[in-house]
This record gives sequence, C-alpha cells and structure tokens, in this order.
Amino acid sequence: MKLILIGEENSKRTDFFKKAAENFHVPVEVIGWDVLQQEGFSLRNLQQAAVKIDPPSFQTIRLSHMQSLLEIYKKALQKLTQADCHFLNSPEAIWRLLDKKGTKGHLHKMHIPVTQMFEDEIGDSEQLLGQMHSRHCYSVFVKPRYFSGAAGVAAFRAHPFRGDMVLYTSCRIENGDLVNTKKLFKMTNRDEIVTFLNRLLALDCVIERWHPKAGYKGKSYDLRVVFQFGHIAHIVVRQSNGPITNLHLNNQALEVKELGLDSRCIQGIEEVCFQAVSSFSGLHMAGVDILLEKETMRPMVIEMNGQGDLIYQDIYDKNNIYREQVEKLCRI
Amino acid sequence: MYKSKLFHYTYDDYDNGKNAETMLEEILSDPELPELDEIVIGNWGDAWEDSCQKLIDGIVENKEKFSRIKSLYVGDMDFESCEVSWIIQADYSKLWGAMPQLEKIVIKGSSDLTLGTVEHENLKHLEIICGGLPTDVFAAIQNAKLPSLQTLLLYIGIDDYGFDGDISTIKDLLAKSDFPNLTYLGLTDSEIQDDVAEVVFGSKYISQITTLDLSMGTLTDKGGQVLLEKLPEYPNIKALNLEYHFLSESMMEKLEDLSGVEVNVDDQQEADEYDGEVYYYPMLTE
Repeated sequence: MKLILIGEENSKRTDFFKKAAENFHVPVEVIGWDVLQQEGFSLRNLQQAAVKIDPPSFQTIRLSHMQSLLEIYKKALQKLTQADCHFLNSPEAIWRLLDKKGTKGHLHKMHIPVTQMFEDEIGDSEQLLGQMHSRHCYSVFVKPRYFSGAAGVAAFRAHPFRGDMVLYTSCRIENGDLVNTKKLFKMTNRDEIVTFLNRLLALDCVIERWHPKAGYKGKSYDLRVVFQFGHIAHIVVRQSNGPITNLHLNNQALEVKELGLDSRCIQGIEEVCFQAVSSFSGLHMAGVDILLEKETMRPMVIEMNGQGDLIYQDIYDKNNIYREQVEKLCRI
Repeated sequence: MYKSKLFHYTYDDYDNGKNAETMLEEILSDPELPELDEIVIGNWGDAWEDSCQKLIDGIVENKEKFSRIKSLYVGDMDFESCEVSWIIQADYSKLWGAMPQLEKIVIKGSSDLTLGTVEHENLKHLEIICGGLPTDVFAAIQNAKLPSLQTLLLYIGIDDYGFDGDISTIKDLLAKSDFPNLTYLGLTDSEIQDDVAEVVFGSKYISQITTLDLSMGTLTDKGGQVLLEKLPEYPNIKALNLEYHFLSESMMEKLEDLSGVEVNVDDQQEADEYDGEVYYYPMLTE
C-alpha cells in the first residue's frame, strides 16, 4: 500500500517520518499543503493509500491572522474527508480535537477526568469576572478555542475582594493586534489586563479553571503524552517557572522517570489517555496533555491534539513514535 | 532529620468549606502530632481571603501539644495554589514565647505579617519568603534577640509587593541587629541586589559568616565586581550563592575561579527590553 504524508516539505516532522519509513524500506510520498490546496489537485492521488496528515506551518505570529489561516486549514481538512484512503487520524478527528470546547465537552460527557471548563459563553472581561465570582473560582486559563500550543493562552487571577489582578501570557498587543511570542509576560496593571482580556475574549475562547499543577524541584509541570495504537508511546514532562507550560515556550523538558512517579500514577495516566483517545472515532494517535493535580496527583486531560506527536526527545533518539506509525500504516 | 508532616488543602477542600479553623482541628486531632518534630502548613484553603491567624493562635493556645515541634513552616504553597503576595499572614508576637523549643521557622507571604517583639533563645533559622518585605518586619528582625540564630534568609522583594524601604533599611538591619552566631546571611530577591552586595561587605557579619546568599536578585556585573574585589579578604566565606542573576559570562567565570569559595552562578538571566527600556526583575516579584 502506498504511504503518503500530507505536510510540509523540509520540516522536522517530514524528515523524521521519512527516516522512520527508510527503516522499513518503505517509500513515502510527501504532498505539501500548498499542492493539496491547488485547484487541480485530485483526491484520487490518495486513493487506497495509507495517509498521515501533519499540520501546515502557520507562518504568522498575529492571532487574528492565525484565525483566518485556521479557516483555510478547516476547509482543506473538509476536502480530505472525501478521499478514499486510510488515515492514521481522520481529518474529522483532527479538526474535532482542534476545538478545545468541543473536545472538553465530549470528554466530560464521557466521564473522563478533564480540567474544569466554564460552559457559558464569555465575550469580555466583565462577563469573565462575573462568572469567576459566581463560581468562587478566582484563577482561570483563557484559551483561544481553536489554537494549539501556547498561542494566545493566558493564566488569569483576580483577587475576590481586593481587586488585584495577575495575568501571565506569551502574547502581547502590538499595533492593536494580539501577537504571539515565545516569552512569558506577567501583567499586574488592572487597566492593561482588562484591555488585554477584552481583546483576547473577542476571539472565540474557552475558560478553564486553573488547577494547581504538581511540582518538581520548585517548578510546576504537566505531561505531554503521545498515546497511539492503545498504548503510551512517549511522555514528556514540561516544566516551567510560570503557569503556562508548552513545548514551544522554551520550557525545560524532562524524562518522566526523573519524576519518580509510582506505577499507580503511571497506570492512572495510561487509563485516562486510553479512555480519551478511544472515545473519538477515527483517532489512532493523539498528544494528550495531562495535568497531575498538586497533592492528589490525580490525572486530568488539559487538552488533546490529533497531530501532537512531534517529540524532539524521541526523534533525536530512536524515533520510535514515527517508526511505529509507519509500521502500523504499512499493515493496513 | 525532622519527622515532618504537611497539612494542606486543595481547591476542592476549599470548595467544601475547609479553612484555617478546620485545619487547626485536624492538626490537633492528628494522632501523629505527639511524634512530629516539624509541621509544614500549606494552603489553609482560603489563604488569599483569610489569614492563618487562627492557626497561629491555636498553636499558642495549645502550646503543650506542640512542645516537641522544632520546625514550623507557615504558607508552603507555590504560585499554582496562590500568588505569594496574596497569602494573608498573621501576627506571630505570641508564638515566640509559646514555642521556646523552636529551632527553625519559615514564613511565606508578607501581607499582614507582624513579628512583634522577637525574643527567642533557641531559634537558629529564620526565613521569610515573599515578594516584598515591609520595613516594620525588617525593624522587628533588627531589634530581635536571637542569640542562637545561625541562618537569616530574607527575600527583600520589590516596592509593588511590600518592600517600602531602600538600601538604608538593609544597612540598618546589618548595623543594628545582633546575631553573634550568624553563619548564613541571605539577603535575596532584590531589585537593588548590587547595592546589597556592597552594603554586606561593610557590615560586621562579613567576617563571621561562612555562607553569603545574594541569589534571586538583579545582581549585575557591578555587584559582581564588588564580590570579586572584596571576597578574597574574607576566607571565612566558603559558599557564595548567586543563583538567578544578570552577570555576564566573563564575570561568572571570574567569580567561579575565586579560590576557597564554592560559587553558585546557575540560572543566568537576560534583561527584558521593551519600548527601548531595559528591565531587570528579581525572581519572586508577586
């Protein structure tokens, strides 16, 4: 069976997927997103092939631009749903997981432990503060509904009666636009925070309770678990001095064994990931972000990513994640 | 090694009505209490809404039950649980007399913190972790009678979060306090860390301490040069902690090359530049 990778030429994802395929002497045809989006591209090129869809590279730091690129991406994924082929992860599943609100709502409905999400629509800072007060929840995360990674994420706290506010984010307002950076900023000025929140909440956002995360050597951490074909393929510990941990924010990544988690805890993580991934049809692999609650060490799903499998510690080591994907795709 | 126990509430506990009062009851009724040497108090549920005064008062009122406790940490919580500047602390005035056996105390948070008159024969370790230490707390330490004190570790912090003094506050503390057994001096987490480095070398403690801790602040090459020039005059100093600093690579190397002293220059920072301005931040500024 023909093996096709839809993605970007000359990217780490493509290079290391090809290397994995070389191990099995399997040729990989790479179809770039630019080619796929050309009018003349026929889905017959994918017929009966085994296909992996990698994400396009969004060459922008402006959140508003990112949002319009996502629309284009959504259309491309929709087009792929018509293809007669075997996907590693179906385009529908990939898009479903990009929607944080839909994903969390689904997991919650399936009784899979997730970080708590506010159900109500919240469009500005006033509504947000009102909701925080009525729920007695004074620490939250504000996240754009469809972006992955740390893009546009803000950790926000408002003191219940003193009125102090603290907001941590990797975003800045530049020339009236929200711009993503790779550095974490902290704001404490109320006016500055309100302006920022109003701008952020104008994008479609989800609000989640800020659950205290477990810590290791004075830093908090969460886990990126690559779960595929029914088992954990890799766990990366994402450490941070601040509340936002993300692989792309230059945070320190550790090996999970350094944490000394007991087997019960690891088993709990595996169980939650298994339930989460198998609850979505068309999904064989996902990057599952897991929070271990401080003190109780209970695992909860923060979010899922149907393309969250690029783990530097793995590709530069044995490249096991991509090798297993190639192996399984070849057997279809 | 102390036999220690942590008492801490999660957010769900707080949601279910747990607070300082219920935590005190749980500590008092804990069957392990008679064997403990150390109590660590984490978040008492609503650390940002209500102080830990009930816990401190409860220890004082039940002092015989705590007569074995040699070490006490009040407020062991990180920013995931509560901003340090939001932790509402307490008045410790009566604690000193109620716990004469105490050897070590760590207090996190400086909002509403009062030390009162500090007189204690046995206290060896006093540590206050905060984003800004108020001058009245500095004054209480300056006037304290702590003949056994070996370790003094203070987070100076910044004015936005409670440090309402200046370099003269530090100078006064060093000049007017009397800690004859002090061996570890930590004046950390300051946005005037270069000045602090300078002032320390003019103090009486510099010839008696074995560890100098100037970590977590905005130490630049200016302060580094002071250390480089003056440290060799004090062979009594065996350890210099500068972790989290703004020193240049070359200054780091020079300091590490100093003989007879273990120098920690981990966690080098870069200044922030925004709108043409350069900003240096201490580690804990919230």
